[in-house]
Amino acid sequence: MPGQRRARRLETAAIAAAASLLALLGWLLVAAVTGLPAFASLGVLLRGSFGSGFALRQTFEAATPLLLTGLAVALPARAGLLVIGAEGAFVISALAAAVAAAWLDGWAALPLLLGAGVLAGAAWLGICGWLKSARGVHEAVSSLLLAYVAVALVSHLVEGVLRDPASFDRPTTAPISVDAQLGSWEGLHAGLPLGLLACLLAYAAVSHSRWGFGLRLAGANPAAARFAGIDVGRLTIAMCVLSGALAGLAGALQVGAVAHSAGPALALGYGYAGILVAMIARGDMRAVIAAAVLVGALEAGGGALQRELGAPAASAKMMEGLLFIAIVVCGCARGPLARWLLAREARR
Amino acid sequence: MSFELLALALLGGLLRIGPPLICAAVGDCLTQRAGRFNLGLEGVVPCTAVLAALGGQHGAGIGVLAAVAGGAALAGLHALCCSLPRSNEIAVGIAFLVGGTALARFVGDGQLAVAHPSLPQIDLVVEAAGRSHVLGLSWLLLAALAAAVLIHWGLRATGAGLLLRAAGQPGGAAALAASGRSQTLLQLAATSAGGAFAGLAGAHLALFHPGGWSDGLGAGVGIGAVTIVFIARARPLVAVLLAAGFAAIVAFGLALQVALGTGGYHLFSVLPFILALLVMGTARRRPGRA
Amino acid sequence: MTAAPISVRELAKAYGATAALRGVSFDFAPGRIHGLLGENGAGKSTLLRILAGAERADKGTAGVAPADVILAPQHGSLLAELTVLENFAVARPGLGRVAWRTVAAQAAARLAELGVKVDLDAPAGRLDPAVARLVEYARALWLDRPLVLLDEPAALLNQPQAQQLFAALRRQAAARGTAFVVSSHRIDELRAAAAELHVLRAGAVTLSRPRDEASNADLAAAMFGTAATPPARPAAPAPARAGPPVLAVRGLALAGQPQARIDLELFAGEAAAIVGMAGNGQRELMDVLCGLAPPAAGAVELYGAPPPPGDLKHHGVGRLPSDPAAAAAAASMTVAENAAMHEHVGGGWRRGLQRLAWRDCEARAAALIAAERLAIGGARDEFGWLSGGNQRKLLLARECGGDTRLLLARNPEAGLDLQAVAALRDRLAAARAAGAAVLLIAEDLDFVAQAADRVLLLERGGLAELPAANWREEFHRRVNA
Repeated sequence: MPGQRRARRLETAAIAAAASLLALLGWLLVAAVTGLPAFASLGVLLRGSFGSGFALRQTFEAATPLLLTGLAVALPARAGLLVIGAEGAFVISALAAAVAAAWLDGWAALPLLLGAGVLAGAAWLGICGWLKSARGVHEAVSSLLLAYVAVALVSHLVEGVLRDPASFDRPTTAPISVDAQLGSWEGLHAGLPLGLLACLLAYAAVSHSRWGFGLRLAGANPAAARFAGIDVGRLTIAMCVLSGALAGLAGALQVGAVAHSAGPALALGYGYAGILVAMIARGDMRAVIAAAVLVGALEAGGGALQRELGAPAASAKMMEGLLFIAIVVCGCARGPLARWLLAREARR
Repeated sequence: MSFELLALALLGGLLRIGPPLICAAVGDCLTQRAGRFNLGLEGVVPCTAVLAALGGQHGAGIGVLAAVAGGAALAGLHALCCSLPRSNEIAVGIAFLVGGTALARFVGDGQLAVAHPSLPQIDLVVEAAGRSHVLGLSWLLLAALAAAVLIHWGLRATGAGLLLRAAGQPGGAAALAASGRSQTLLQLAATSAGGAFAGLAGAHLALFHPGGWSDGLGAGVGIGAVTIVFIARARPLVAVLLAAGFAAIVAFGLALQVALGTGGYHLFSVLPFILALLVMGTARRRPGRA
Repeated sequence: MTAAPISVRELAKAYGATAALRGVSFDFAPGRIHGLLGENGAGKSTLLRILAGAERADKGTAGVAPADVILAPQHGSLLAELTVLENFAVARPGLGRVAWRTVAAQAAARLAELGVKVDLDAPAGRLDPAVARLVEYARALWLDRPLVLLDEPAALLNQPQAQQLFAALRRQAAARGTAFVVSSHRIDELRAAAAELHVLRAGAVTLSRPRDEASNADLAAAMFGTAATPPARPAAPAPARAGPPVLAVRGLALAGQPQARIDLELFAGEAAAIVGMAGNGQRELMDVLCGLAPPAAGAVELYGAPPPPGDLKHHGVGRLPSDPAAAAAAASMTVAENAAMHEHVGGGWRRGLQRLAWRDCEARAAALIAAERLAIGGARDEFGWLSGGNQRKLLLARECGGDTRLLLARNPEAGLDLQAVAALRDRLAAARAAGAAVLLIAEDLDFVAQAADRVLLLERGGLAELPAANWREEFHRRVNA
């Protein structure tokens, strides 16, 4: 009887629709209250994200780091871990990558840039994994605190010992060597295919490998995972390290391809937006791609709102926040709704 | 640079940085005592700061009222979401954290230039380095301190306090149901009260002289308060002391920068977080809590 | 006292397919102590919980408002982080200032009545379990409601404590007209204390009489049924022991019971059952045997060697914890994934990157569903959507499947209907016939009689083998001692 799976799909669709509607209504309300032309803003939003080649490039440029930071949240979430400090790993690894790649020329510069970023991010969030498995500190709290620490640490170092004397009002590190720079075409760079590849690999690993099975089992019921002989503590640390590595890769790519140097200005919220991406993807690593593009579109559209309607700079973040709350609120109906749908079908 | 001026800068910084943290922490003691963990406080504080800045245009009292009411409403919404059968407290908290921060930044944009009436304050005149300096002592801080003492007393001495403590314990739901009370309602009330105190924090941020809203205002206050209260095991007087200590560390960094021109302010501002992580990392495991 | 009795009428309650109460009726006259007798699982706790409003009945009326009832549950309900005095105060309504002196004086008087010496300012979580129980009963007396329910009050008390408690109950019943309902599985205990005796068996009332009109034989017959003494279908005799024991437990001490030691050898083809009152270390023992907790002292050996790390099923050990759906399955994963759980885990990194053979796995799950005749949609259904009975059947089949050489099961029969119990018994017998050793940790003696050829008694963390010929009499003698 495929009824149950159909009920689940219907439920997912209904919740997605309800959340979108709720977020849309919220946006119209906020826009109206703050004096923006509410309905016109929707047109601007659409044109600014998908309406032209430029808009599309903007969307995919923003989506590129989100693929990786979204994965950095979605992957541990599959193991039942709410690691929400990708922002911290992102900036720390950006700094590590920029510093590592600043003093080396030649073929090794690029691997060094990426490697330093990945390692720094992995070590940074690995702390959360250890705190969780050895001390029972909730990973959401520790990773969030560490995100603040990371941004402050980067600010401190970049305003101090690592400051490039040539950077004036916005302090940054010295630019990375030319050999470490990734080519980019109007904002699009190697990070996009890399991010897509990472999502597909993650999908294969989570849904089609024995390792992924253990991961999902631990996320669904840690007691059952222990019952099946899985070392849940080690898995926790591994997932936090992996999360940090992914966010770190995003940070390193941002330095290598876009910013060419690191500074506190890199903390644009890609890490936090990654939480929303993971939330939309709901544990499906393939869906991270679509979710990253969607959130990237909000970022690009938010920019258009700012340019064309004089909307506040935080418009994109506002829409993301509304969507976030709407998804969490509507998500509470999951379960009872599917049962109701199934019961209704059975009555028919 | 004299030691006097450094001490003065430290005291001034403490009176500026301490009150928001103390207000939010005192209120969160109620929330955590009732067994709720409101990570969303980090988003509630900036929202209430914006509300205070907006309301403050009609008078400081209105600003405070708006912030308190808004904080209570937002935290109440959080508690409502958490009381639904299949919700995850932490996930709801993260949503409120991200959503609240965004809302504050969006609505607060453009409020920067508006002048606000400041909160009434007690002027402390301090003689240092041959000059007198005026330090403002906020009434909100005094109110929060009074509330901390009152909560400390009320949790032990009143029926309401006992019920609140019962709500936050394993087996509390059943025990409360046996005497005809609802754990859900108690937690809702306690979380809302915590939000109201977060509103005081936001009001202090936006209305304490010179006041106004700026991007990033209130960042770290909510998560700081939640962490402090967790470490203090929701004991209000301990939480006040910890919050004051945390604020003193940050103020010390600020004072060093003001008085000696040294860097390191960024590090001092997150040093409390590092200490909190160290404390949680070295403490004995406490099962059953977040 | 001439007040009307509290009339319980036709209360029925089912958990899934299992009926806990099948329409029971009582008259609880005020001013008296009513004894409620029954074996584990007879429905005593369910009845008391419904009367107290902690659970809703499917049918029937309780005849009393929950606000007029106080229940002291079997495992205690004091709040651990509050002091003794605060636990008194929190049970009375009122939001304002607590009149501590009055409460303290009254509490002290009630505690003295039960002969408890306790610091009123000590946290309840630090009390000795027996003292905590007495504090709870003192509080129940203090709250002074018309109907007071005590679930297994004597389980943790010694003889003088129990006598003092029952004397206090009688005084309160006489003075205030309170109706007390006291549950127990021990006949002599209630015979001494209660004025009227009621017996529940399998969710139905089998006897309800004044104390003097019921003989011990009547009560035993009502509690255990007439078919109790000869097992319905005796288990096969144990085969000759050959080779090393499949399972050996040597000098094992359980957490919380450091003095007692457990020794046990179980050979291929044997079926042993560990019986005893709940709370004597069953859960801890099961966790250690299942490899989920380290022993406090001593060792467990499988096939003469220490148990290997990782999934024990890979080494022929099937395990069925007491709530297998919560402890050994994932509700949000599919039936196929749960059925193939053991085959899909373990093996380190190299095997970890191997591809899962989904179609294969689903086909096998479908075959399993057909073989077990589970009335469910298919292998891709979510496990959490199955009925409780189907979940257990599926997990039993999973744990018995493959080349299982040792089967550990705790209360596998609990909550199953008669047909399912018969199927379970047959499956265990089949596993034995195939050379597996079976170890049950069970409470239902009827089931033990059908499924095991050796019976051991677990008491306070220690294990003693009961004589095979008359283990049931011996069990009752020891538990009632």
